[in-house]
Amino acid sequence: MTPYARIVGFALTVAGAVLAGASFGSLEAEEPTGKPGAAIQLGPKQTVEFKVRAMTGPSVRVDVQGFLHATWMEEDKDVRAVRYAKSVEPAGKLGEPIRVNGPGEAPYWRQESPALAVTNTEVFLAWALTHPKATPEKPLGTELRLSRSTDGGRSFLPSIKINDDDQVVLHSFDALHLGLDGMLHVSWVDSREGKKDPGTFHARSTDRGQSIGGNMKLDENTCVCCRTALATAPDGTVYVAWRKIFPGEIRETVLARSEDGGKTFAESVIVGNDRWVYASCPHRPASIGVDAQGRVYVVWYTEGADETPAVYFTTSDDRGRTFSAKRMMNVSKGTFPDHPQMAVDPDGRVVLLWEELSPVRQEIVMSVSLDRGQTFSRPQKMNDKKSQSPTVSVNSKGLAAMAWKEHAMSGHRLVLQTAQLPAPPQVTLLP
Amino acid sequence: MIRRRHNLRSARLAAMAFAVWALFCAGVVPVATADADSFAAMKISRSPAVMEAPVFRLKTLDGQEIDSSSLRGKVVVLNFWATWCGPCKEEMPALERLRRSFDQNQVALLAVTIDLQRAGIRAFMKQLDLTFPVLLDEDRDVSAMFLVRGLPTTVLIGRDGTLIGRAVGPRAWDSPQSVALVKDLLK
Repeated sequence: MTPYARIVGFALTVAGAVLAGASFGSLEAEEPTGKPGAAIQLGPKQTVEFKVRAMTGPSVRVDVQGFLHATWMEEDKDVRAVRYAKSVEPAGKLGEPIRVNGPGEAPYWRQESPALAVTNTEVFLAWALTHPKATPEKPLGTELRLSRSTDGGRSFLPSIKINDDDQVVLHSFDALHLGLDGMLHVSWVDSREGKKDPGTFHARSTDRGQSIGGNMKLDENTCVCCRTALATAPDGTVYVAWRKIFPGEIRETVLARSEDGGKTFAESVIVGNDRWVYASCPHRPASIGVDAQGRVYVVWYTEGADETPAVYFTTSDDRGRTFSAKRMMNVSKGTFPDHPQMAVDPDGRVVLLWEELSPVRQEIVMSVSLDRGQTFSRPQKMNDKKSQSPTVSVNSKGLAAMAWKEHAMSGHRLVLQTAQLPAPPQVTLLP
Repeated sequence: MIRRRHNLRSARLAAMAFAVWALFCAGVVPVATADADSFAAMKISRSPAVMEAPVFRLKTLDGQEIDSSSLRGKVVVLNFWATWCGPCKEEMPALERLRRSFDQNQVALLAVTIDLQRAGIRAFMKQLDLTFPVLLDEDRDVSAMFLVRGLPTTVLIGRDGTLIGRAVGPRAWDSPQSVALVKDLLK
């Protein structure tokens, strides 16, 4: 079947559903099938309104005690700021936001939130700064900065530079992850080599963010505007995912692993073999996670060879060398899926969020797996009003924190909601 | 009951419109018009049916509000871009040359960005001597209305306000084919 025929088939499916009177986007809640009868306990929605000119979507993390951490970028009266807020109690309301960037620091606005990693007492934020040496000839360069708090998010120390070059070029689309071994990893897209397409870079901090080590290029031909993703396994294996450009403008999500704590990385491996030909900027990152047994989980957006927007999920049990058959997660036939985000807890409970879009609808849906990605609940609509930019985190106790940005008439709203996941299904070992 | 039927009918019409729109956005609608060669040469997918372009209001870098309905009577070239998008920046000079090929009373070229790096955008525009307005789509609303899934995306809107075509990815907008295409739309 030709790509054209596939697309026509896709459209006819949509049209057929229309004529059948299908209710588009009415995504009903369903329990995960991993454990019959198991129910996800959704917490109340928390909406925080900001009377600012503009704000990005948030990044959210939930720490092991259940405190919620959120960060975003906002602009008001032509002043941009990196903001951070922490809940006043576990799974509770967000406290007063504080400004993270220093007085002389002008964050670079690229419609993405800062990257965030937390422990009980520490908060780490990576964000792009408008390059201090930007000139009229080079107006669009950025520096990558790391901010950290050692008092549980009450205050932030002066930021430090992550990229170890001084070029006025793009250093952005960053990811941040704190491993169980205390190693802080950062990955990002970097144009320092001056090639047509940038590279994917990695650096790590061995002193909990006080300093950053030398930068290392993982690969070239990186898609310039798709954010990188980072995760680590309990054994210290580091995984970085990004979108790579292959000859013929083929865009593939790839994954590279480091088995020495981030000192060196193996060559990247194509995850889904999507064969998506796209000579432009998708601006859509992959999302990855690892459970306690070392299974790697990947979710990503592609339009594939048949140019049909889709969100796919796969796993790897051999440290990212090979992947299971990819599974399409979106089921709605009346909307386009977009911007998937995922969180995985040590037990392999997976929470997926993504957008479902049409010209008049912007919805956030959730799908959950309790059995290490074998089965997923039917996507459940989470938002009440037009929403975008979902983000999700889960702690080791199965408490998930979800957040997204909601449109308001005169300002912007950050919506947070928690979900307590039921226990994973018990596995009986045969003698 | 009547209200329910009405709602159902509205929902079906909306969904049918979406199906058509989805085809358009997928960029696979076959070309079957007199100016097919120009569209094919530019790899521009045509709108499969007569559809009104979404109406929007956005502010320019200078704070001036642009109401798209006020552009009725002109061919509109709506280019979605961002400062971090390399292919976007590469095609901008060609867009400027396309703009200068036409009377601005007949052709409106507007760049729409979700980027809010205003100082950087201003410097970039000045550096390349780009004179078309940049509209700030701060909340991605207009990008969502036009189902922009990648940058750059350029949408062509006819003088009667209907959607004409869409190009995803950079194009040689100053090429003879592109100029011929816009001339055709002015007829």
